[in-house]
Amino acid sequence: MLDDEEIIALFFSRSERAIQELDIKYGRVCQKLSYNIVNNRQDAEECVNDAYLSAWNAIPPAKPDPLHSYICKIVRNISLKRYDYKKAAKRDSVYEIAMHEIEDSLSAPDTVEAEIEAKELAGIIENFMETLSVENRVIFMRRYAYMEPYSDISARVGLSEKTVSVRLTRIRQKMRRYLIEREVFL
Amino acid sequence: MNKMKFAEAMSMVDDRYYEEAENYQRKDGKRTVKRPLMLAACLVMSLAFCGFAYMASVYWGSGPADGSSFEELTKPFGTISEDENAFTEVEDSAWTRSELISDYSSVYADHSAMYDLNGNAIPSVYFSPAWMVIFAQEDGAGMRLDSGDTVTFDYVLKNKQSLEIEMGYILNGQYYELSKALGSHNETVFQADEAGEYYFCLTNRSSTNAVIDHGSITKH
Repeated sequence: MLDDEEIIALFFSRSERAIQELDIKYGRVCQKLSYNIVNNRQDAEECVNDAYLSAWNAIPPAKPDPLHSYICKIVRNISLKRYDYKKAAKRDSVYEIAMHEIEDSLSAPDTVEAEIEAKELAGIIENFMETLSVENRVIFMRRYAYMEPYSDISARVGLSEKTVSVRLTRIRQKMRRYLIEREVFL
Repeated sequence: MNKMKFAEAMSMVDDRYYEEAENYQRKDGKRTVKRPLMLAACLVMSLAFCGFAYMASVYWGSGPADGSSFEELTKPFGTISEDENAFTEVEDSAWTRSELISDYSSVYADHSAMYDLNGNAIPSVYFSPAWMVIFAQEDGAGMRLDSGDTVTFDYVLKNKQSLEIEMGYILNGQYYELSKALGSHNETVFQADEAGEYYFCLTNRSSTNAVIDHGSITKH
């Protein structure tokens, strides 16, 4: 398996092997991430292929470092768009469940405040995550960035599913307080 | 709309959070069934090779810090001491987990000791790695809190020890982590989400004895 720099070099030399190596190294992660959002194998595969094409078109001039999060974010965005497009269908993906559970933490009292921009919100979420322990931050990211089910998070961090569930509940409560204290109304 | 914006924002958070979540490895043996077994095996071997006198020679466990020098309390494990008082400390230490916690799957500590608060002041105590010290009222009860009550929980380590200490509390048999910090002191403000009997506690996540100089648990 090539390292990131070697894969990037293949992109720069316009070698189609770049896609193959990217798929070998991150294909499984991307497929899983996409599937957790779109809840359909075929759609997930198409999203990942679209993400590879986006990467092919963007590199060069882009030279992402780290490559992993770069491709994951592309997969995530494409999968979210795909999901929105087909949202009239089933609502039982991990993404839908994860977003449903966090919705209460985002709701705010009636306000005339202007809505916050996503980019600004991302910065606030980053600041919030800095208040968490590494373990809790990983749990939060695995759930709401990678859209993983409790069982997968549990296996990754070595906690029971119940404990992961309790941790996430408390993290969401903490985030709600954090957003309200900063008058962030979504 | 809220959740869509949140989802969009999560795509924009810095790469390092994605990398951290992807590369996270739980600590060896942490929170697995094997950990207590391995610790037990190590303990048995230690006793077999060194004899019980070795265990008695260091301040392994937890106890009041008053009356012993800081140097003695934090002496590296394996250093032979002639201090006979240490023997008492080891004997008094309970090699058991607190029964206040029913589910240890998310708890780092393998041992615990309970201490009385002096009003809202935390007593000066020492506690070894993987030990949890739990603070209670004189009658052994926890702190009664109503939903919305706020508590400030702080501690300061002696002689500016810089160690990783985890702050947490126990409620209804479940342990909850509040914060974890590497340093000589920490303070956290906690708001109760539900009414109940809260036991606040500290866990030593470093590799040497921690000695609390002072601290407090104050309900506002």
